[in-house]
Amino acid sequence: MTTPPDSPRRAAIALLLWAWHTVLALVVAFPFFTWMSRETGVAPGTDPLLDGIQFGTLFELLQDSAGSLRGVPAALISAIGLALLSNALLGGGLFALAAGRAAAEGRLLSRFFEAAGRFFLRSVGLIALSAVAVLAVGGTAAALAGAVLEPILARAGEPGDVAQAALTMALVACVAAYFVLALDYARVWMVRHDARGVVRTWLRGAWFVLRHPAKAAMPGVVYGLGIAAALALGAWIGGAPGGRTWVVIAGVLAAQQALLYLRVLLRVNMVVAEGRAAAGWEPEPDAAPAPAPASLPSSSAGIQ
Amino acid sequence: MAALPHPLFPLVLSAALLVLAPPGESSAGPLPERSDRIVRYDIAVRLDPEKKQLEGRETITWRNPSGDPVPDLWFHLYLNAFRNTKSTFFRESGGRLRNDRATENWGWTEITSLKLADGTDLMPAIRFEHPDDDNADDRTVARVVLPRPVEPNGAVTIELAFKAQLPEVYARSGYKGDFFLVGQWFPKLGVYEPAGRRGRASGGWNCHQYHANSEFYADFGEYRVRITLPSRFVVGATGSRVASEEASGQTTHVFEQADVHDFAWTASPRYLVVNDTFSAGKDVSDAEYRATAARLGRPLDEVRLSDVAITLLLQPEHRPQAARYIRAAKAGLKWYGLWYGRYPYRTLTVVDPPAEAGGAGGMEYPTFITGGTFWLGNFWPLDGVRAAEMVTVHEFGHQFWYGMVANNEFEEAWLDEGINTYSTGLAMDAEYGDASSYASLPGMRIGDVDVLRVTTTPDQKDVIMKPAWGYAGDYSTYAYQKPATALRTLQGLLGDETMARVMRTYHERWRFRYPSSADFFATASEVAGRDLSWFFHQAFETGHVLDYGVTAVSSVEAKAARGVFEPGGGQKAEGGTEKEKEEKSLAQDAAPEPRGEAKMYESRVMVTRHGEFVFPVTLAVKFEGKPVERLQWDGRDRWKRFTFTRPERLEWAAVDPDRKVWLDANWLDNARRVSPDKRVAASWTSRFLFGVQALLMFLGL
Repeated sequence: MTTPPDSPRRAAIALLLWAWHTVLALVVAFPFFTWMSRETGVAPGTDPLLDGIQFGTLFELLQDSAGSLRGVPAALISAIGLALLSNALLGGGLFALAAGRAAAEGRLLSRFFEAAGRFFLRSVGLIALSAVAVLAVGGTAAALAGAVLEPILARAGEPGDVAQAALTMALVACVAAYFVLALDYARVWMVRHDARGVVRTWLRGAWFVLRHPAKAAMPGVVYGLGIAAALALGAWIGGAPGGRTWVVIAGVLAAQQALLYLRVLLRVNMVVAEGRAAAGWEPEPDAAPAPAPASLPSSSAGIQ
Repeated sequence: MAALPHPLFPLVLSAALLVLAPPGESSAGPLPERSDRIVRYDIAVRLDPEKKQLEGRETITWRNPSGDPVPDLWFHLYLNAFRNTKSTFFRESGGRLRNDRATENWGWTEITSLKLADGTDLMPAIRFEHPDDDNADDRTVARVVLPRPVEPNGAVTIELAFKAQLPEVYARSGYKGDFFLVGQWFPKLGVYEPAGRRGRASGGWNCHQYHANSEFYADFGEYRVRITLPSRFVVGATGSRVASEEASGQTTHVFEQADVHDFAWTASPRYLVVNDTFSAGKDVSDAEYRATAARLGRPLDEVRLSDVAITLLLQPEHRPQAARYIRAAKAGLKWYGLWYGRYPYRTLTVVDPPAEAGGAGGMEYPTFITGGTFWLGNFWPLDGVRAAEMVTVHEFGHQFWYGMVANNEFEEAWLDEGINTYSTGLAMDAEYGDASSYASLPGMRIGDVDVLRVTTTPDQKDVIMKPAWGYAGDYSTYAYQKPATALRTLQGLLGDETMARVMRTYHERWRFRYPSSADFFATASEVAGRDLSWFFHQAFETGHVLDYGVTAVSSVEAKAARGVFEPGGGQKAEGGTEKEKEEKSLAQDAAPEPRGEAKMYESRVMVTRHGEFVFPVTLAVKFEGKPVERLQWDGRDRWKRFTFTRPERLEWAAVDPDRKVWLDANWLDNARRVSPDKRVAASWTSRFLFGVQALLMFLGL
């Protein structure tokens, strides 16, 4: 039985994850800032943008200088690619530490990255399987929903069209949520039992969620709501109108970053809670027990 | 151009109208109250809702308004535009209008009988014409030669029977399910223009084919229309319903309207009928009447409005938006009425088409308009998108520009679309506030200025004054937005009050008449008291782009001066062509040396005319600790450098600081700061950073 990692260590891991994503995002934000500085720095006509989204001003800004924004999409695509790979790496480390399956000795970061490296390729495989499943099953679900709902709602005119679109999107969202949960529990299984077979591990995760939907979903619901609230509050703070002095700008930046940090911390806590939800989830009797990692302590102590 | 009336004329006319006007209507001074009624249509039509067909009979009485004997009659058969893929309309549009596509449910009109009142059969004399192109397959114009010409001021009466197949609606007229919007549906006479009208050298028929990018043109007259259809249908139409008779499950609705040049109607069993009244006494305050009278320099009686019965035919799922539609209709009646003249009709019908018949929306007919909205607009926050309001005010506005001031929409579309887009912006700003007249959403507001800015770009080099089918690019840009922007610029040039008088005078003078662009230009110059041809020529008859910008500002400490100096100085301006600019820039390195021991700054502002459009502009400059100063520049040279020697540093300079030159293709380069301010960049980058971080964290973590 693993011991849940204590709060300071969860906070440290969350800080690491927040810092890494901030570095990645800054790679994209820097050319954006450069472009914006050049176009707005000496142009008082753009000052209304200090108060929020000014449609005409924004459109004119983009229209006049769209060509010089070219670097930003390229940077964004690169950052997305890097994030996908790095999240596979970092996710492995996070799940391993949360499950107490990292090395027992050494500094926190060393143990984190040792575990991340160990589980990296398998994590990539699990993420890829989940992405394919979301697209395939989600697409099929959307098509089926359309076929079923369209004859029922066709007579309802516009409200029927909106209802059909909303129900279809809700169904696809449920499919996506299921596979996200399945991925999480597959990763829990992977780190607990050092499971090697990616497909089998992924199927175990999916089966676990199907067999224990309430238990599996509870951490996601509780922490997911918190994550959504943090992001919504961050977006609201960023979009709130009002004059922007340097103090206000710095304050908004700090508040948004604090909320992003909170978002990551909630995610770390969610992973720990999922580990607890999967307590007692053991391999079947005819399966060979998975070898323990070389440096696994006799009594697991979670994130040290 | 009409002569100005005798000063006592308004008084005499007011007295006459007080005696003659129907009860409840006030007199309106020099406003013409009725048209020269050239044509009378008596139409009886039956709708077969299953076949989507009309079967009708018309009695048309046409009076020859010219001094020429007229040997023939020309008709529009507009529904033949939807007959097949060979029509001019289909060839030009590719079967698309706005965002709607044609289907395989075609439309057509066939004249089945055509006779003079004395029984003479005219059917053998019908020929299809194609006056605008070589398309012999286009059947939207027909001509019939009469056995005897119609003498000047004489009249001819013809009896006509027709059948029409309504298309599935995608371009204004047609059906969708059991919804019918019936516009341009009956064989309709073209306009015989006498010599002198709209600059014509000699009289002749003006009867264009139906093009993808054109609307309509017809004579004022009287309409009496009997519409028979199953009783389950709710019907709305141009004019007032004067009778309604039911028999055997069919109802015949009789509508009448005089002093209009078109008649449209609608039917659907699903309509929710909402009735309201625009009250001239309650919906307009005394303060608003007085302010209008003062602004226009008119007596109060001349600006008073009349009550109007409003009928809204609403889709049931849009019920929560009924009040919005009504408010918008009243806003149109109020603001257009105050600014341009009283709406002279007793009724206004507003139609809300179903979402699947969007092609029928956003259209104007006399006293009858179609709007359009969306179901999600019932709910916050999308109820902040003023789609229903904007389209209602705009289509109502066409009662003035096109409905009463009846320009030829084929040849001079901007005279109604452009002027009306300008007026719509003003009315929306007046009613809903100029920062959010089009949308008020959480975190974002959109006003008329934003919409026109989005549509004003440096690449708009086509000419406004062309036939509607002649635009190489975007019809809506050159018929709607660019003329509206030009008129906003004219308003900035003349001032609000003078522009208001221009528009009022133009409407009064051309109400129930047929103006040309030249008539509008002449009216504007006359009221403004100066020749504006330089503006109208550039804005409407050339593709010149207007674009002024502050291209450089600097403010450096001047070295201590030595030597002999003239008194005064401190400011000088120099301008030139591009070649001169190059030569002078090489010599501009040394700052002049100030006198005395006070620290002085030499500040320079370079203003450049990037486009070919020459326009006088104001330059504003702001020095530290001083109020803003303004200078004028005629804008003729390609550039102008202003130099100031002051104890204060220059903070910023701006050309057109009040943003009155709406035609300027780029407002963002109109002002420049000496010292950069990175707050906008920092504020937006922090938002951008947050979004990117959230996205990256979502990917697999």
